[in-house]
Amino acid sequence: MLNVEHISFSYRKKEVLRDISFTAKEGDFIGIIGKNGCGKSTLLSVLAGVRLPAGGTVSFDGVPLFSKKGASAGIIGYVPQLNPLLPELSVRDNVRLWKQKSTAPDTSSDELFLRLELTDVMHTPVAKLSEGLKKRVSIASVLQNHPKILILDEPSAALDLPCKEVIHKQLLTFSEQGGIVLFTSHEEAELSLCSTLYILKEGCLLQVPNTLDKHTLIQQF
Amino acid sequence: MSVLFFLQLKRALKAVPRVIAGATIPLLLVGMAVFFAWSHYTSSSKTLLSPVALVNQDAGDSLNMILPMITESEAASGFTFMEMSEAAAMKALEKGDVCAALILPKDMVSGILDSTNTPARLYLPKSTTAPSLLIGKYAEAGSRTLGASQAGIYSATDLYKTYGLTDHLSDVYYDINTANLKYALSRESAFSVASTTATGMLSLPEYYGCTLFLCILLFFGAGMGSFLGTPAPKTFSDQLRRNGMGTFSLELSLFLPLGLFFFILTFCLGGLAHIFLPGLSFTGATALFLLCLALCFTAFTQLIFSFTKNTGHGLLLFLFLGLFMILFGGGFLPYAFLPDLCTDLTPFLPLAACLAGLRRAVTGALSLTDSLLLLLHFGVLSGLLVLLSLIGRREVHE
Repeated sequence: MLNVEHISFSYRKKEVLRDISFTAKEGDFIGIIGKNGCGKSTLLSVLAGVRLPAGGTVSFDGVPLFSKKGASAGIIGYVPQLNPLLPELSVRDNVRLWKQKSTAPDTSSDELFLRLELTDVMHTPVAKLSEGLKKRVSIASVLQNHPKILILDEPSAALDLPCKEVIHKQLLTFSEQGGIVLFTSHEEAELSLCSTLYILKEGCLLQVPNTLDKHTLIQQF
Repeated sequence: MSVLFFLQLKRALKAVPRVIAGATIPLLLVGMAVFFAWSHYTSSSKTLLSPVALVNQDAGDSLNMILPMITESEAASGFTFMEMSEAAAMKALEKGDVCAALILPKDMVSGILDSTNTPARLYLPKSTTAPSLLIGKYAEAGSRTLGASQAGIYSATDLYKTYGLTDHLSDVYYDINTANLKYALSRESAFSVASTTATGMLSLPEYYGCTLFLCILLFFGAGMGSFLGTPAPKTFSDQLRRNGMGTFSLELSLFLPLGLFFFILTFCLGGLAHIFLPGLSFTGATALFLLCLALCFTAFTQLIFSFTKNTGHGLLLFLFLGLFMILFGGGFLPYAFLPDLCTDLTPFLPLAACLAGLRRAVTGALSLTDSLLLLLHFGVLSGLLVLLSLIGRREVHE
């Protein structure tokens, strides 16, 4: 169980996140929507441990996640909006870079490459890949460490349909296997996969029914 | 960290062809500039001699014997004597083709010997130039020498007469004259020639060889620096930090491959320089100095590319500052042609300090103590640069 309590965050004097609290249980597929620049990416980066909150705690199964350096890395897999990849290196090398010592041996990477349809480009430099493939490499880098929670910042933005399909399939599989998926998106189709939907408005997180139609959702913004 | 270090090395190896290609173009340009400058220097070195028209109206053997003593003497090494007719000599003087015209009259030598003294005439242009002044002084000194020589000859003649040896005088007359002239002229030294150069103890090829050494490091460093020194995307370093990597380890894993690149390049260049610049011998002091050089270049590269978000801007700034420091270090023009400020700033400009150290290494004047001091000097400079680069990275990221 992921427990987020009273998280707040400010950029200098501008308060971006205000007293954000929510919980997520195994298998949850949570979507976060909101206007551009409302703080969605900031919220995800705080949850992933990239930024330290001004206040509040994040814990998983009762264990605080950011009390020790690197503690969240084994539990949370974070795929930022910009791919954290070295363009000159091959797909395999980039994935290897993010492998944590404590996780399964290399053989699981091959299986992962197969699932994400990356086997053919395994030895290709990342610079030569399309954006969709790069995103899949980023996801593979994270999934190889078998995280309990997957946080993704607009995972399928500007990708083609087949690529989105591959990514969605992986996210659903991850969720079905008991993982928690937390992502931001502006894609209608993607939001329809969510079990829970939140809207971030003026720094506050509000739950909205995921059955709302497009026009009602826009009114919520 | 080890995985990141080895992957960075792998990146560096992959970048080598691009780095070589990138460095080749500016190096070719520098090479061409050096070649043309060298050709100009060597072709114009002869014309640097001041031409003097020489009109020889005395066809006698004595003058032919004396003439090389005048034209080939050390004091006259700054002049080139061109034999021509009197008319041609005067025309050349009027046109400014020669700085002086020296006319040696008929029976000049016999006139010296029998004291009729038909003087040699030296024509100088009215607008006196430095070479004209010099040849004037040279002729003046020559005439004094001849005067002394004549005095010697006449004294010897008088002495023979006083002691009633006039019968023998005709036998030895010619020998006395010749001997007097010979000793007088060979001892003539209007100017003693000493040479000095703006490049100090270094020859011109050694001097510019040092500059080329640094330029090669700079151009190759630009390529590799733009590759390894540019801060990785923030998301990249964020992920590394999330995985528990500290700032120090992160910076070190980025700094070490760059350092290794400069270390290898510096020592390869040092080996090549040893072939072309024999003064650069491989001693402990030289090896230590080359290590300093690699350290300094690594820190400088890291600094520049840390402060720039854009690789193109980084490259421009790197090359501009690098070339500026080499210029201030007297790399392109010797210090004699530069303001005193350059000499004062040299210890504080890393690449200028490198250049000064390299010149000392090439002259063989670098001791182990010097190298250790340089290591300390460069260590402090590099430390400052790395510290600044860390601030730069933080600024760029924020």
